[in-house]
Amino acid sequence: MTPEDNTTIARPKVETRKRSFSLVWLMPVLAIVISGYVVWNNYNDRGPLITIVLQSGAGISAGATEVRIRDLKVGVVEDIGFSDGMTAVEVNVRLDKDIAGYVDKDAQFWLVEPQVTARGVTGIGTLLSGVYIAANWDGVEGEFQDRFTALTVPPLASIGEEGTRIVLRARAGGQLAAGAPVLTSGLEVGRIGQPELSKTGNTVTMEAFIFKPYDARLTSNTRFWDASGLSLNLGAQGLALKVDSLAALIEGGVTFGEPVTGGQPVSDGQVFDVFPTEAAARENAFEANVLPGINLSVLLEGDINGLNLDTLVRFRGIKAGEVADLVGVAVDDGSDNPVRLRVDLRLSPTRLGLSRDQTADEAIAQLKTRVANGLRARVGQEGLFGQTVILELVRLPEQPAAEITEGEDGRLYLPTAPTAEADPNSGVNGLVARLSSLPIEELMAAATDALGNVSRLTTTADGLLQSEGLDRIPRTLDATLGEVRTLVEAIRNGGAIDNLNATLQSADSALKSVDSAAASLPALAARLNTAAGNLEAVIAGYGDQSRLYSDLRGVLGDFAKMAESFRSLAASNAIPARSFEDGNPCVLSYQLFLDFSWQPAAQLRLTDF
Amino acid sequence: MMTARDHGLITCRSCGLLAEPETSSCVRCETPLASRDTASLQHVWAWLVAGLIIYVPANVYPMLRTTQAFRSQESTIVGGVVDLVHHGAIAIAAIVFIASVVIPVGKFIVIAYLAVLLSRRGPKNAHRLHILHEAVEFIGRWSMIDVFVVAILVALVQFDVLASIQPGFAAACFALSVVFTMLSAQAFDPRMIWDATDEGAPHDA
Repeated sequence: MTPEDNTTIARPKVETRKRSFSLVWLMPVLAIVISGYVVWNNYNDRGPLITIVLQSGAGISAGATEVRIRDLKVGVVEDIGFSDGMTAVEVNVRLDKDIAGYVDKDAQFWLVEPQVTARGVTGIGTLLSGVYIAANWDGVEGEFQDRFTALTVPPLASIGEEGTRIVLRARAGGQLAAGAPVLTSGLEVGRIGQPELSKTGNTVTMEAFIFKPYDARLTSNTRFWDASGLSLNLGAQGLALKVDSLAALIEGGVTFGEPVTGGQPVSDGQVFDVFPTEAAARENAFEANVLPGINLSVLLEGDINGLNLDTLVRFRGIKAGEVADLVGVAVDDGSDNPVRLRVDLRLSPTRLGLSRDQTADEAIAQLKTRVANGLRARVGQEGLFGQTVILELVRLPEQPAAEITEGEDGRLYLPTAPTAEADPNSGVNGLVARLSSLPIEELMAAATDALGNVSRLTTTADGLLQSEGLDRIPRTLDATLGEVRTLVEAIRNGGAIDNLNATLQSADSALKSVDSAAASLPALAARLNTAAGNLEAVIAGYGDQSRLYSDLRGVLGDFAKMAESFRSLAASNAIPARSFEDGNPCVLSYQLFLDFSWQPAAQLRLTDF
Repeated sequence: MMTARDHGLITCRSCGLLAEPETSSCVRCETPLASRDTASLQHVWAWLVAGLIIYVPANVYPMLRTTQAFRSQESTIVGGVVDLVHHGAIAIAAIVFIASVVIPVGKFIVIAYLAVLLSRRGPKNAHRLHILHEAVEFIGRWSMIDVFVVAILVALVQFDVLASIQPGFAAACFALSVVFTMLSAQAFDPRMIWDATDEGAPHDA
């Protein structure tokens, strides 16, 4: 046996093994095929890359931050960078392939961060997971777009959410914030979009979205009013505290209702005004087809205390509008005090007696005619104590001729008249002045004298009739008759009877009037006291450092003063009827009271705390 | 040094029994016998190539998908090592790096080196080659440490949204790569080392 033999024996086996050579080589081939498939599959599954431009990259991290639609991941941020000039942040997002077809120009993106609002907490998941980019697009495939600018606020309604988009127009300075609720009958039926200040700065417009099916309640007669904060109304019926919803209290919100039925259905884009109070909204609803208010301005000289936003503008005693803005302006006319107060008025055309079908230009033209006839604006006062400043539109033909002028700022200026002297005969001050100037004491003295005379006369007559000479009447009849006749004649000749009658009558009616007046005055005083008591109870609930407290304290003080003045009126129960031109003092004082109760004594917002 | 072949005998690779050259299978354990498995180099290369190919996706694709409170993170082998270094866990990073990168890559190199040397004729240090082969065979299983870590983590860390770990595609690839390289090392017939030295310059001592 040689090694050569061994190798020759072993070799055939080697030959047979060589055939198995191909089988093992299958493994690397398989490995290539499998990994090649995985790589190809992975590449093939990749969706398109889109760029989203954001204002800030807060919390976004490459490879982790997701793009979600309806809270489902549809893409991942691949990398973050700055746009040209570093003005914004650009985020590249790899979208899933299956949804890529829907990403057209309608697609919207915005950053979702955790938010704690009065209505709850949103995006709480992002506290742990970090922010994500929310996406929104419709289910219609369109032309692919790969560059988007993210929204700064979430869209009002996601695409596909049904409802009506309307535009709300509110006075500037409200509390309405984006996302604030739209309420009706206490239900949240919509959302408010981002408020935007108008160019003039007087109004704020915002989009609002009313969900289906509640949007069916919107008609052309629908009125919106501010449900923000709480409103405290003090009136003849006592004290009314109203809070619409806790969320609205903090975030603001609007409520709508339809005070008048029969409105036309509205479509998207309808503009609604937001009234400050429900009362204003309901009042307004009865003026169908409300024209946009006429905006006029007035330049006032001197310091006017008490003039502020919402100050009433009265035309012939009717509320015709209100002060929309107060701005100090410098006027270069060489005078010592070049600063004027520009008061912007928002007037209701129908309240001015203008036709509601007129355009704004026609209304202005008609106003110009009226100004030529003497229509002027002036500062006036009203209220029980004459302390409320108002603006009056009055006709003063004796004023020097003037006209509506257009200022450099494009505003129309109404000519003014000097401030009216406070009417000494109006208000409580006038009443008190007139009361104190009444000749009450002389009258009382006269009445007392007259009564004394009467009683003396009566006594004389009695003594006459009951004298012992009665039983001797037959005898002394002639003599007595003669005496009486003489007496009567004497009285008649002296005019004593006439005097007596007249005095008695006037004293009687005066006392009657005074009595009835005196009877009603304590009741009035008591009612005032009750109202004050209610107020006091409300005030007790608030801290004594808050503004509300001091405001209400002021109101209470006024109340106490008024009650006191009525009480003293009742105490001096000797007011002759003829001193009141309107007759019964009770009627007059009741009117005064009503006048007081018409003015909401205090309307407060949460911001006052 | 004396080999079975020098004496005209065949060693059984399974039980070590010496057999007559005519025998086709071991009388004791019935393993097919071959004096020299000359096809073994083919097998070595085939498994090695397969292991190399599959090692690429094992490194490119994520090994672990960690979901931690709504936030999921995918990490590749090298990415995980870098993360660990950033977190200051240098020791763990070193272990992972050695087990998942140094050892597999070293194995590829060593096996390829052995296979190349044996297919060439020339002077070699047979003892050194043998030790290298032993080392490759021994250390091969330790490459699985990464796969074990993934398996344990996936089994243990399952707390729904709070934290959960899923294996990535790379874990399977890596495991396959390790298996392939182990097969490659096993396919190697170490007896050829001695043949190669014999046929070249006779080794001393």
